[in-house]
Amino acid sequence: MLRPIIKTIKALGENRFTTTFPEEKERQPDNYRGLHRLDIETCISCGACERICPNKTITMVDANTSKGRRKLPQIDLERCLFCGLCEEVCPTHALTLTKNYEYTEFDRRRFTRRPEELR
Amino acid sequence: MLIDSFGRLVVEVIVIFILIVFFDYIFGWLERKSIAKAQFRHGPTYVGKFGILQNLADIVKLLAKENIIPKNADKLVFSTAPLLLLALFIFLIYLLPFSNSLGIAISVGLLAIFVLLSFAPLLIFLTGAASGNKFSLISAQRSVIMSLAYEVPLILSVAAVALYAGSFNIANIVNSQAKIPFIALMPIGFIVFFIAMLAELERPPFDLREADSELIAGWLVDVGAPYYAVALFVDYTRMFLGSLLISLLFLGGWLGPYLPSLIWLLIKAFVVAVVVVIIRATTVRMRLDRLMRFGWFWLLPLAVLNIILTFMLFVK
Amino acid sequence: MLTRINVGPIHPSTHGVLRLVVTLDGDTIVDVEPHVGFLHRGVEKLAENRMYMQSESYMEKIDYAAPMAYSDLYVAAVEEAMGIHPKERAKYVRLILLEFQRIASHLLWLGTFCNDLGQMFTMFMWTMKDRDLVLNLLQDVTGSRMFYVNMRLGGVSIDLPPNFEEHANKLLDYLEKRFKDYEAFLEKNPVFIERTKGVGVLKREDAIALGVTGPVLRASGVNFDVRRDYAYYAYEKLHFIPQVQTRGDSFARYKVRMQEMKESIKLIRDALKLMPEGDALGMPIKLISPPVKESEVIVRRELPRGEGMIFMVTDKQRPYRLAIRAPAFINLSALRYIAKGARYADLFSILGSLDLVMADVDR
Repeated sequence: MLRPIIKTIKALGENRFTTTFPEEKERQPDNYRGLHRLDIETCISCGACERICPNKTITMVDANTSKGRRKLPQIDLERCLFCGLCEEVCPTHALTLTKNYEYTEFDRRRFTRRPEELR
Repeated sequence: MLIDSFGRLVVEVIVIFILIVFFDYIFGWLERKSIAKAQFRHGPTYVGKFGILQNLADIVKLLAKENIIPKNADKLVFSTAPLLLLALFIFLIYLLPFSNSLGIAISVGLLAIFVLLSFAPLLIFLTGAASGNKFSLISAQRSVIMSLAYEVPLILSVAAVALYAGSFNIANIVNSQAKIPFIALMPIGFIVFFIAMLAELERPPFDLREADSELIAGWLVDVGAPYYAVALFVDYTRMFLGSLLISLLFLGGWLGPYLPSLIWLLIKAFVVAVVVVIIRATTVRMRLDRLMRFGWFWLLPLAVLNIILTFMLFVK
Repeated sequence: MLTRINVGPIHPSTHGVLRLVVTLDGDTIVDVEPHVGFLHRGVEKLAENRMYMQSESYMEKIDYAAPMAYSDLYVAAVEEAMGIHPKERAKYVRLILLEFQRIASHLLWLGTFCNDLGQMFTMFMWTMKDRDLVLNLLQDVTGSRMFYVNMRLGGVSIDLPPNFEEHANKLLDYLEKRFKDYEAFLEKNPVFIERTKGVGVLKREDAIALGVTGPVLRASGVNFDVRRDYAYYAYEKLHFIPQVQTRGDSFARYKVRMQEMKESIKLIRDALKLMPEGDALGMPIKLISPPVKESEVIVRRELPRGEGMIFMVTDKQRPYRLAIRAPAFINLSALRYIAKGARYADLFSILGSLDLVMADVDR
């Protein structure tokens, strides 16, 4: 019974491991799959991301761009699995997943992100 | 220790009450922070510097909530038993002397305390049984069954102390430790008393009453929010009582050089409390029947052995 | 007098949502009836309407304690159906990542097992810290701490980073020390020994008859492990030894998992040394699946919970029918026979030692 107690006492001397979020934040690797980012100039509106998505998260909607009115992906964050298939299948690498993971809203309708908001 | 004036009585009552509240609060904070440190995490940090106001925030929140009494519960018992329990423990602390000048010391103090202490399982059982809920009933039953195992070794180890000191008066017991504290004279008795006290305080490894991985919260499952605050107080006050008893009976009470007696007593009580917290962080909960076995086959013979040794070695 | 207690779906110790209707005679259990299905999401049906590689994300979410194991099981089934063999280096990379996943899963199990016994979260916090370090390593490789989606046809989605070997070796040294600490912490604690030795004994013949697999089976003395008997990836080259205990009680199940973690450390070290240079990347995701050669495939793997199997009937672009044998479901069905005659407090010791993840039970 004494060995376990000594181990607890030893643990009292070690450093804490938890990070005090939101004052400290953990670092992420470069291939972290966070929120989406769409490069509107590079997107060719092929719709591959819409077809590959397992969960019907992406819908192509009309949007105004510098090249006229075209269809661009709209993301429903409530359905997204963050699996990364849309990023992998995009032929021009217009759709990428960033390191940003904080998305909290007061209104549920804000979770449907239009293409212009994917920054 | 005669109370020679009414004014002095009032002052002492208030001072001891402040001590109880102070110890409860600091112990609650210390427990949460130490357990967190042993588990590599922070504990409360946000409310007040180092989270010192966290318990205050919890109590304010709990007292502000609505009290719900279940339909199947016995209203009268359910509402009064927890309060009676708190009153019992506070009263028991008043029966202890705190130093040569603070607190009363009656001539049968030791006996009175342990007789009244055995009311506690009864009140817990009443609360649990009056909840009208199977889980609370089971945990209340467990609490009573457990007390069957531990009352006897507890009283026997205390009897050895009284035998050596020749009196039931706690002040006399403390003063007879002036040369050497009883922990050195009767180590077996100390260990038996410590373990039996852990069971009496229902602290891990004997926390069957609130086995919160089996019975969720045991007797407190259906208790309303204000009563939960009362239960927290009861837990900490009981802890204070236990650590005071261990310090007074075995560690030399308020005797010590340089510092005032009261400070020595509080320091010793805190040290005991820290040891209890470390044991809590380390150990696994015991099963009820093994616990009974442990109480009857190990603690009881050791307590009897302790009395025999004390009698043979020290009492003429 | 028999009382019936409902250890309800929401309970701190039923790992997930599990309802147990326990019939007690005083303090002794007469019968335990598990009610499952609270977490059923229809994964097998979902896979029928999606192309092969689109379902990998769903398969991962079957077992949230060891997601890569299920993803590997599914992708192996698809590879078998298409006649694709994983590249040489990819076999070793997959093995290393899977064994790390096994260590992480067993660490989670150890923490929650001690919680059930009443440890008050100390052991849980320590094992979670170690699991966090393993997940950080996996995050450096795949980009995510959970739900990695890193298995591709013929390999993995991204190869190991250049400094992986030294980080992994440092982590393995640290883990070896910690495992010694955990063993000392638990096995020198007489109360823990009391709670687990002799509790929930499962005899050898019963274990085989009930169909349990994994550490539960090996703790009852049956020397069967898919990694040795139906070897896959590089396990034959690495001299893998299954860990077996004979007593069949909760302590034996605990011991098997502790030994398995140490065995995983050895396997990872050997694999890092033997791994060939080359390319481990599999086929990237495309909008059309590669052609399918077989019409029915069966694949088995040793998941941390037991033996997982997939039986797949294929169609051109998507599986026609997918049947998953989830090990936790079968292990849960053995609870009834193990718990008969035990005391009520032992129920949680037994339940914890079976290592159930309800998402695995319900799929």
